[in-house]
Amino acid sequence: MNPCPSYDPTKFRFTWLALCLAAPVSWAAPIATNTALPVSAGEVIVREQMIMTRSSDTLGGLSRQVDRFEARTVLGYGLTSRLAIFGMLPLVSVDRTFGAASTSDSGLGDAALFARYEVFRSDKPGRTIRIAPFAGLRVPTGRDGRTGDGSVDFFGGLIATLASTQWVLDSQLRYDLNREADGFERGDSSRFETSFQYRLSPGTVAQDTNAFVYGVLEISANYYERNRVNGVTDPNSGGFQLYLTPGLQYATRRWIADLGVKVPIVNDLNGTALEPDYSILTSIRINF
Amino acid sequence: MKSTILLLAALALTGAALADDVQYDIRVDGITCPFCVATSERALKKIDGVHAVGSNLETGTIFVCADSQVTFTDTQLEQLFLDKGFTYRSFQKTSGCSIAGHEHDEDELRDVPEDHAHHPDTKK
Repeated sequence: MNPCPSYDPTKFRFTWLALCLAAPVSWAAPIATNTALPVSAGEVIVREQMIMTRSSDTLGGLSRQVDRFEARTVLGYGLTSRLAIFGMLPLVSVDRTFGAASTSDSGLGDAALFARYEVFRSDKPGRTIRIAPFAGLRVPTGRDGRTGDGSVDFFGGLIATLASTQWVLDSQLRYDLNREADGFERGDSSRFETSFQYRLSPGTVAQDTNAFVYGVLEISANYYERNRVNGVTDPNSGGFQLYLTPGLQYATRRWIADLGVKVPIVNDLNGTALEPDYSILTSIRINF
Repeated sequence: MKSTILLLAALALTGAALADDVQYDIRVDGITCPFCVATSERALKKIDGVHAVGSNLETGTIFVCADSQVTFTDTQLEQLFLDKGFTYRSFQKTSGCSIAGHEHDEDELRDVPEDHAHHPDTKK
């Protein structure tokens, strides 16, 4: 039963999924972007990431709001020094209000599995350049239309990382090929993301330096094609978004903690699609 | 009196242990952050006879303090750092240790035979 019968649930559905895609499975130094820095052979890295996103507006004189909380567990394993595999399992909670009506869902979201292979490496003292393509799939472990989208989707792209002891630049191109399930097909998406991390402390690196504090600035440009519902294109879906994510990161030898706020600086979604206001992202990752 | 003897004995033992220690300064390229160097340090610490491991990220150097019986080879270190995702360049071996509370014995440093030093220019 739909507790909000006066609006098209696919609009909300698009929002959850768009936000899910806007914060991809990420690794190592950046907050919401991927990196090409290595996972050592035989080593395991665990990341616990929490993302809270609020989207709101007014439609037809009624206020709409969606609050989505996602707790992601990400495991990375280095099969070789160049090939790493990753798995991501999210727990999702979504609260939606439309006028006086409200509904909530929680549970397992859609899991993702992907592999990354380093194709280029140039190492110098305290510096490196890495390029790594990646490919993976998203599997419908969530509840169709509630905490997941029901389809098996594919994604892939290329990551480039330039790193020194003073700063790190990660850039990623990514394409998501989405498939239909139960009459709903989310539009494909293309994204370009880049993350710049600058060491704020310590001022100089010495032999006893055990931790870095980074200031982080990330930008993400996302283009979504329109969804299709029962074979018909949804005019209130798809569009373009540009996000800025400032943040801070504390990196030690054993763990990295970070905090960022993702803010849309361009929200150009089609029709009446609900647009996000902000996301708060925090995570800790541990090197075992 | 008894405690003085014990103290002197302990100091003598410590001196003997330091005299037996060697330090490897290993040059590794591509390491840029504390989180990145951790797996390499742990792998080195697991080697029997290794007492302490430190690093200087700016110079790309990992320091290993070990028993004098511990011997590294270029092939061994190249594979170790390859597995960790980094590029091994060279190592230099000296007597005594200057990390983790160990201090170099300056006389011993001068006594290090020339063929124990693998300078960066000699490899790759």
